[in-house]
Amino acid sequence: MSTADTVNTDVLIIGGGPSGLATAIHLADLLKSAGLERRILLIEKGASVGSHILSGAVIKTDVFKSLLPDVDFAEIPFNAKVTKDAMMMLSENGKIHVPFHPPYMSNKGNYTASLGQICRYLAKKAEEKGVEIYPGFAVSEILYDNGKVIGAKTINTGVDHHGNQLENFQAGNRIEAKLTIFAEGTRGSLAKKLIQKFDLAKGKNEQIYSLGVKELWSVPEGNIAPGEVYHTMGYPLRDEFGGGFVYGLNDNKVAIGLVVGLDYEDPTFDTHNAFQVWKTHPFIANILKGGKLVEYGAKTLPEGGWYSLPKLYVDNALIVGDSAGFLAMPALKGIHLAIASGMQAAKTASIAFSKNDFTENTLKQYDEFIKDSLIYKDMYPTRNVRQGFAKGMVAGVLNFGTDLVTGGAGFAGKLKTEADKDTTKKLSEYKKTLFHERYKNKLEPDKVLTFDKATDVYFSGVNHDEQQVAHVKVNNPQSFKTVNIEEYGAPCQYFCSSEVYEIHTDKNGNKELRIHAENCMHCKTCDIKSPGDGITWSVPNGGNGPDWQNM
Amino acid sequence: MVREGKPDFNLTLMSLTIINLIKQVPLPSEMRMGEDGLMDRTKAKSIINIDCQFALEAGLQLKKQYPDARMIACSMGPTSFEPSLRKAISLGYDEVYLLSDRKLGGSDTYATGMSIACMLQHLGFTKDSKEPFIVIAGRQTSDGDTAHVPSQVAEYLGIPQATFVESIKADGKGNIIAKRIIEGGYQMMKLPMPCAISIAPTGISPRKPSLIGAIKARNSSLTVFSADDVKVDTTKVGINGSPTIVANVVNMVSERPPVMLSAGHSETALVDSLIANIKGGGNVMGEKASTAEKVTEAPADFPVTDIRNGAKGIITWAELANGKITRPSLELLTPARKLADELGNDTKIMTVLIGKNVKSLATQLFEHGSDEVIVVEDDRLEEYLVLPRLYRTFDRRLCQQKTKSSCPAYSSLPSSDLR
Ligand SMILES: Cc1cc2nc3c(=O)[nH]c(=O)nc-3n(C[C@H](O)[C@H](O)[C@H](O)COP(=O)(O)OP(=O)(O)OC[C@H]3O[C@@H](n4cnc5c(N)ncnc54)[C@H](O)[C@@H]3O)c2cc1C
Ligand code: SF4
Repeated sequence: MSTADTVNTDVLIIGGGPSGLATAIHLADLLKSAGLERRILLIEKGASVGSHILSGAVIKTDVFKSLLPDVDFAEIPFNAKVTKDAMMMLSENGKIHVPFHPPYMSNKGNYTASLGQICRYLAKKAEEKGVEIYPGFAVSEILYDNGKVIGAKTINTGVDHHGNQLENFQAGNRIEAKLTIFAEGTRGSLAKKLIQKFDLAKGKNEQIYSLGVKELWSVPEGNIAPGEVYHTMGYPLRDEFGGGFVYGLNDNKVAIGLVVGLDYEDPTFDTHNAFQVWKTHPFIANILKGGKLVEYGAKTLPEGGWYSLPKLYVDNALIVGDSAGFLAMPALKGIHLAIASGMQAAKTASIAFSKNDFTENTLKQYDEFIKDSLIYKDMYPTRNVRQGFAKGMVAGVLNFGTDLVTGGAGFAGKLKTEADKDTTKKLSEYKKTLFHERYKNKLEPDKVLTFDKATDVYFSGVNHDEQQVAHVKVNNPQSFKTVNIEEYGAPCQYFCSSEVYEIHTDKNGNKELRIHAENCMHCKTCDIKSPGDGITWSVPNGGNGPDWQNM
Repeated sequence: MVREGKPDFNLTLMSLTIINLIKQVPLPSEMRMGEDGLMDRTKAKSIINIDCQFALEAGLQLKKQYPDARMIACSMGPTSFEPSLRKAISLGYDEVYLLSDRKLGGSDTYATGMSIACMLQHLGFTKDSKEPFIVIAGRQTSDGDTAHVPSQVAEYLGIPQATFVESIKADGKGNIIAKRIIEGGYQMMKLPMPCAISIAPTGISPRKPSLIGAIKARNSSLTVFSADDVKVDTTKVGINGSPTIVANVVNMVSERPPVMLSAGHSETALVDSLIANIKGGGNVMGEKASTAEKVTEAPADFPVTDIRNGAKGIITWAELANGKITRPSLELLTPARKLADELGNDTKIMTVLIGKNVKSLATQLFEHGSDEVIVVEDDRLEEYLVLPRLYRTFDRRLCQQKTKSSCPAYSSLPSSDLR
């Protein structure tokens, strides 16, 4: 079907992160050498490529050499080469240098970087190769014909809060493609629907996630050298899985963050606030001393590992990067895997174009390519690591040790995971001290070292059009009140990295949820962690969301 | 106001052209003034000026009435304005033109209006054009804030204009019906085409670009004209040709960070916190320590041409709303007085009062500082008029006065615009 409202393309790539851009670049190269001319369209919801990209980041760079064989490595805007790499165990009042270096976590030869900058560079390269990139457009719907994916559609704009058309209404455009690549990153809102519709996660572990909150600081000369890399364990986390990172960058910038597994039980746990408490540890506070906050952001990352990967293809479509769950644990590295998966998807796609067959029959080779690639080598040996940690940090460390001995099989063979939303305990069932009691005297921000969410949100440049349907939706308002608010004490008001959810109490003590969707950082935590019937995150208008420069 | 003696355009036979004048500006939150007192456009992120975005939307709304209308967007400025013109295409415009020339750098609003008018004439749009057209522009820009340019363009082209317009519609008989914001309400105006309209940012919000539009924008070509292409008199443009001289620029620095007056998640908490804050008193604005005003001295070699030609005096115009002089018109007399005193040499303030039965209001103007009030009374002048001819008549009469005036001072804003 083709009308004036339809764009026709050969390949549609949804998402301009490392996975989508790598798919585009490698496919353009492969098609060129095969003498095929095909249209590759990449759509990114951020106002520009990079504005919705957040990572640590310490990057394993080898894969860039295969992606861009003709490019002088020095041209790629990495930041500093890792010069020092240490793991710290933080306690309430001091630091302990962990004597051994955890395997799979060595950063020798790696580079620190702003992934946003890297993506801007990759986008430039892709455009040079003829890829058309359109940032500022949100893809909101998958198009099907006879039950098969035939492309996707951009969101309708110019509607009020209820979806009624306003005078400046613009219908979204249909994009019809022979092949659609889902490269939406973590918890892709369309990839999620695709996985559900075709039951692609059948027989797999539940995907589980961590939430990473990050700040970029500018600090006085001498506080930290470029390339100095620290990871921390311990304080202020207790049973929660996770830890902090401190990455020294050029120009006296430093990227800091706290990454916490969303399989925690405490319904009042607040990653943003835990991050603020973490900064008060003398080891971190000293690095930040005299500095100032430059940017803030948050994003989740898929941690389930090998056993949580869904089936990666259906007729006319492939899934790449974080949307599939390609992330190496416990090193928390996904960038090189995103790129590698994009390249394998491109290889698959180029075969499909030469055969002009986009059915599963051809696309299933993607699976084999993944198994033959570095992705398998990175992910398979650690396939049980994260599940082990779900039982608590101590059991996790033990399991991790066993993994090393048994080559990843552990004692249990395949450890199972539970969906993050189901691990939260009801207020009445959670017997330990609640998070906001635990750090009661540490949660007042001093606005120098520590900040409240509202202040941090300001440093993300976030912006959402007022006239649109709120892009976060409570699935069942009735059960939300009785279950989420009353039984769980509304965890959303704590886990949200950007103060989108507010519980308003009226004179009579009635509690009601208020949603400030305009603050949303697109971290997707609410879609993952809300108990009961939950919350659904979908894309807002294109160009809305954070406006990150160097995250 | 229908212009007599002109045939109505038969819009079913002829196609309408909608011409938008847009400007790219630095994002207001990131705006910086350069050392030289001119805008530093190099550092900040750029957007289409907000008022111009509303004007672009007004053009697209008008297109709904004329689906075949030819849609043009024009701008004058450096070639870095290109993204904004492409954005116009992505919103639904078909052709874009940029007037860009070093010779035009530093042009004031008079020179800018004239240059843009020359570009429109070059494109074939004159007051005698056979085909109807409408020029739509944003009311004012966030970096210049003068609101002069749309009027200057209309003046130079010699076509009627309406300023501060919220929305427009065509009446199907060759006229534009404009809803103009005035103090305390709206004024509905009827303008024969061709005409020029300046749009206030209060109407229909600008739309988002469509993907198909963005694809079109990527593949469209942009025509760039030089000053010579459009035959503008280059002695009257640029920093040297412009009559305006920026004498000094003061950078305002906010001296106090914003404070939280009240915080809480329930009414009771909010009120309690507000009361506590008021009682605590910490957030009350203290007496502002007077800071020495930083005055940028013009460099010694700054080209200053005195174009007053012996003229002297200050003219202000008293705007009327509902039979009363508007507040801004009265407030304007205070800076006018200050300026007159600074100029010395017995400089007088002359105020023009135009309307129906308005003589009695003159006293009020004297009370507020006018030295002389020129009253123009006529029954036909009850409403604000848009035909330039009328104003030129007044101008000519004023010029014949023996006191030639050197400095017109108008308040550009009906007070509905809070500033
Ligand atoms: C705090 C944190 C620290 C990390 N540290 C490291 C590290 O040090 N090293 C490392 O290797 N990895 C790290 N990672 C992981 C790494 O960042 C990811 O694995 C990687 O970014 C995944 O790339 P991607 O292309 O799959 O997704 P993303 O980078 O998330 O990109 C997806 C893009 O798609 C866009 N998009 C999504 N949905 C739509 C839609 N519907 N329509 C249009 N556009 C859409 C998004 O806006 C985004 O730009 C970290 C992650 C986090 C959160
Ligand atoms: S609303 Fe959801 S996606 Fe947005 S910031 Fe909050 S938790 Fe993250």
